[in-house]
Amino acid sequence: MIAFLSALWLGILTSISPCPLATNIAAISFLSRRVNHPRKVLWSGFAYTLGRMTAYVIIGVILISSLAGIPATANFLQKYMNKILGPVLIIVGLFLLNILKLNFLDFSISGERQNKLAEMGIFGSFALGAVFALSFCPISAALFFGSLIPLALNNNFGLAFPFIYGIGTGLPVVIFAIGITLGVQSIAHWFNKVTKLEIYMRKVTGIIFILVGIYFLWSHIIVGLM
Amino acid sequence: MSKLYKFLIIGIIVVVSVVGLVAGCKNREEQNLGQSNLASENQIEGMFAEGEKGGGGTKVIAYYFYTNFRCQSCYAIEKYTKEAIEGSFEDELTSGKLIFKTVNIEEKDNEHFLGDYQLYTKSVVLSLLKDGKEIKFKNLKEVWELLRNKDEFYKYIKEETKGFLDEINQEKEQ
Repeated sequence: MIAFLSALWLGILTSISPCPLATNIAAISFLSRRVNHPRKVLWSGFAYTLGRMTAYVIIGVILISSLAGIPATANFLQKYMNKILGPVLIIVGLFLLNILKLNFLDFSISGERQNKLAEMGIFGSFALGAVFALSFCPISAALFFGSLIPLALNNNFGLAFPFIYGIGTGLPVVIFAIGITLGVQSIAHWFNKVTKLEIYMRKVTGIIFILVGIYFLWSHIIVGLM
Repeated sequence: MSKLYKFLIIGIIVVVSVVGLVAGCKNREEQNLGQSNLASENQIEGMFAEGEKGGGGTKVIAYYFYTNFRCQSCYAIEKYTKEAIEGSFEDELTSGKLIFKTVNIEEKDNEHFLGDYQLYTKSVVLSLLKDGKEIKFKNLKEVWELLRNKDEFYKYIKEETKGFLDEINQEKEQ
């Protein structure tokens, strides 16, 4: 039981450290952008956390079954995922701002379906959680590969550890997103601006994604080239 | 295109340029820091050679391994480790019995350290050399967990390093 609690604590510790702050801000704005629909925010939050849990469990399976070594997996993910993340965030940001549109290649996607894709609801949150979880930064790599995986390797219920760790890394983000949703809503009621709120929130999320994307592009690709 | 979009796009370009400028300046600072690291590495290399002559290659090396991407916590670990070692083992550092070395593992010549020490993130590793040959090493994994507690961090580095240095002294006594 204590071991499971420490897995949860390691997850929370990862999430509140300064290193994943940029991706956490992007995730919080992404989740809380459906500000008029608190229930959707909650479901997206679950999906986001589930995405993180899935990613960690998959890495856990790979490591526990010794399909790949810890250093090889850790260094591969840190080297490549963070490089991919910048361009991906910028592209998603451009979609959120409607600057990029899905029919730019003349695909015949019906209007309704296109809207659903652009909304990037539950599935989008799940994917975001998985991608952010795979983009290890130094501290999450230290805690996951150095503290959590050794715990999992020494326990019969090994896979429960990355599972619980995933919950821990998602929890602070989801709590923040719900807090912001409720906070912004109550302020908006004062100014009678509730109806337009979601449009603004979507733009704000788009801008945050582009900025975080530029930060990743800068720190993981451009600095390395100089 | 509506006015809102034009406003947004212009806004993004302005913000991006500001971020670019700020990041550019920060990077220059980092480069300077990198150069000072390099300088200290050269200095250490000098000490290393000296130590080898004097002590027959029996020494402890405290490594700090980093990559091109560096975060606040990474700088803190490097700083605290350096402070802990310089604060407690001045004599050993001067005599060449103990060496502190910072190594970028993304440089081609240093890639072997990844496999040698099974590294998975920025790490502090102690290595005990006897007659130039490594006989023992330890990855000080707890640095990441103790980062929020400076005193405990110092104590951890100090005790582990002392343990390694004591082994040299014991060998000499034998």
